[in-house]
Amino acid sequence: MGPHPKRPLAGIRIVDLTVVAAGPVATSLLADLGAEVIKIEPTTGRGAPYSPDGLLTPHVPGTPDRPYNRAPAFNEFNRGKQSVLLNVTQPSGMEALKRLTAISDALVENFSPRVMENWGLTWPVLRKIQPDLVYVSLSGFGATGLYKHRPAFAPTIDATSGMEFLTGYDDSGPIKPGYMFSDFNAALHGAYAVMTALFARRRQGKGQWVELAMRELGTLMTAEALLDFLANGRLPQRTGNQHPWKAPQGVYPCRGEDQWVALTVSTDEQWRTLCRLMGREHLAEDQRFALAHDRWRHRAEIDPLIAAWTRERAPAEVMHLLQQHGIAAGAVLDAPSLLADPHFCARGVFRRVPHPETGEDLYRHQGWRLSRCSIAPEKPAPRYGEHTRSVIEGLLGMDIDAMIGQGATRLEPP
Amino acid sequence: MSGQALQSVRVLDTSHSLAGANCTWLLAGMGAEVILVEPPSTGNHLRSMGPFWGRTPQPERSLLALFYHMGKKSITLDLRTDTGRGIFERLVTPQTVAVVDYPPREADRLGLTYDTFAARHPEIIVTSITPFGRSGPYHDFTASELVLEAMSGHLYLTGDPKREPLKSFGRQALLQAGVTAAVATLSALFWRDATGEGQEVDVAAAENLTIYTGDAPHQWYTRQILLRRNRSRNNKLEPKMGYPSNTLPCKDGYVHLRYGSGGLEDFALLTNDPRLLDPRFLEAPMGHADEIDALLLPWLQVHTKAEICALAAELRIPIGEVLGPDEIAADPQHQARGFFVEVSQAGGDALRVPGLPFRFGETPWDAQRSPAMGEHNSEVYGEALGYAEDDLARLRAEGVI
Repeated sequence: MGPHPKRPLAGIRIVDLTVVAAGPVATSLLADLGAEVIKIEPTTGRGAPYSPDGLLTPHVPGTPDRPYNRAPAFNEFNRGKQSVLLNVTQPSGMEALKRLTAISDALVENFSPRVMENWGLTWPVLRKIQPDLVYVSLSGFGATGLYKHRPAFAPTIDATSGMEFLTGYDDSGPIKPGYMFSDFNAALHGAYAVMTALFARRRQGKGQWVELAMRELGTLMTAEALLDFLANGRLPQRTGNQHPWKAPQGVYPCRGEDQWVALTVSTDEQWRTLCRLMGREHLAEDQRFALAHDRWRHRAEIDPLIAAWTRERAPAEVMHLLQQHGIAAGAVLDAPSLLADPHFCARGVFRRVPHPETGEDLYRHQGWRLSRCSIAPEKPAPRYGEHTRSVIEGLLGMDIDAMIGQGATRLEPP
Repeated sequence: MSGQALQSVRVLDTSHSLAGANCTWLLAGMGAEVILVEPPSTGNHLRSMGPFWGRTPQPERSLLALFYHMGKKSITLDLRTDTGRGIFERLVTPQTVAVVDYPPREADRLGLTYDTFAARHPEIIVTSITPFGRSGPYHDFTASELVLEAMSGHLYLTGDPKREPLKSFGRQALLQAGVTAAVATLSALFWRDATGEGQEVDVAAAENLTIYTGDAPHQWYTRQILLRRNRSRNNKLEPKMGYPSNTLPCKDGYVHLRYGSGGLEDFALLTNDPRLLDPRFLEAPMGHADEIDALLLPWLQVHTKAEICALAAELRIPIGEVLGPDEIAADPQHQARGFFVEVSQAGGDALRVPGLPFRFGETPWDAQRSPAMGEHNSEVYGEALGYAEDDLARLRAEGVI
């Protein structure tokens, strides 16, 4: 045991070649855990505010300069990293990447497989550069097979993984689950893969190539329906907000525009309590609704009765009242209510971190806390190329002026 | 290299929800010794949940248990009894992780917290998975999957803008909490390696799912722009956002079309329709989403998913076919990569499962069958703890195991 670390992955250095969302989110998690994450960015720029990846959305009004340093999503997904500009099509740029890899513990990328192949950076090559490297690839469809070159974005993975087919109202077609579901699902699994391989390396002394496909990780999330088909040949229906056997369950309208509350009644006793709270004691006596399976059968009759009651109330009011009586209920939080929610505020979920150009960025805490140390995001996202000089000169000992002359790096944005 | 990545780690899994089960599924597949601690009277909760193999509700035929308990050992133990608790403590080694997904109050009552173990086993890691975490005003709130999705902000971003927000398929909040719990457990293992210290790991399912709202909070925070649900279209509505990003019907199903670096021009090429290059569309693609859909639909309706995706792959346009479980099960890419594996069950039947999430070159993922309830009682209590057959019979009679 060495000196007491500040965070769990202190002392781990990661070369980060990831782009867009799934990869960067995975490596930002590793940065929160204390790893030194060195993000390699192209010398051609981070892209315009309306770039195709949708991440560099319009920046804060009234701050026209350097929008690429101000994109909220980019900064959230890259907080705590260093940024180094390299043009790896120039020999000295490639040399810098290889030298950095040689002194790093892991390399993570989420390109389509042809990118690393075109650069000649296959696993046999990387292993020669750094024999105990952990190399994690996280492509859309995997590094092998006939779909390996298919491009992927979160919603096309939602579709091809099975998640979208299964999500929808009972009378609608398939509907995309959430906002960028497959990116975040892949990011979490990707982080798990990197950490597991690093753990194995620590115990057993060897690196390895770990290969993942976003689409397989999405399909994994459909296991419940997939197993029912594989074992029983049964195809599921889309069922909206229904519970398979509990009723009432649903999302009910509240006072105000687009305000909703979600609730699930799990027991007959909870049902009677709900009736009392709604001032509808007679419903508790109604034999059609007394038992769970009867309520489920008559759920279409119950839902309007609940909606009539919730419509007069604010989501938080219904939530607190039902929770006081042990019934699962929650306000459907939109962004402003998420940011203002007393529980999330008390737990410090959304954190304001000073950033030299935006003034302040919003970063989310990971979904867990450790009692021995903080893993809260504290360091801002790097400005484009902010660490180019310190890494190339300081860490790698290379001649940065020569590299600039060769077009292999730059200190000013294009 | 010999062995598996996590082979030195022992996990005592007291969980009963899909969150805990998925966490320890990930740990078991990477070689941790996971001992599932099941209540002797009812068995692990997954055993009573459908769907069931052959559609008959029997604890040994629950598909969720057969899948998510793969590679684990099973013992029966009543943690509500003092004897049971005492036996549980004897199973704790310096390499132990306990996974607990009881609500905070219940976990405290059962003594399944880091503080309870710390005096005798300071090196233990207790991974707690709860709806809202072990602190904060809502820590005692009760939740369902729907409520978790609601309070994370994920629900608000799913569904039709003219209807109520929509739950995603299955139990995503719980499953994602499970993945995070596995990552979180690893973070505590790294800490223990460096310091020798154990600790409490506090995973909060609703909080964890807030990550899935992407930059929706940021858009509000920086610009007071509210992202809403938008069916299968991009949740960002600004006219200048790229388009298409939508799921549209085709000849034999649905495809999701997503603009890539070629923008709308890719789709003009794909459908051979120069009308898509209207300067108004190019200037503000999302602003003309309905008009663009209307131009794409006739072409889509005379092409099959396979035709569209083959063309798209050639042109490197990101289009994804909307696939159901039957198509996924027969998918050539999954087959080529061996994503599905046949797992022989105790009775001799083989169950086909999506069993290869990661390809580790040196410390491979392992897909072993799920145990029967109490299958490892004699191994764990007898061989490891030294209980004689008489002791076990007595404990069984008392309902402790």
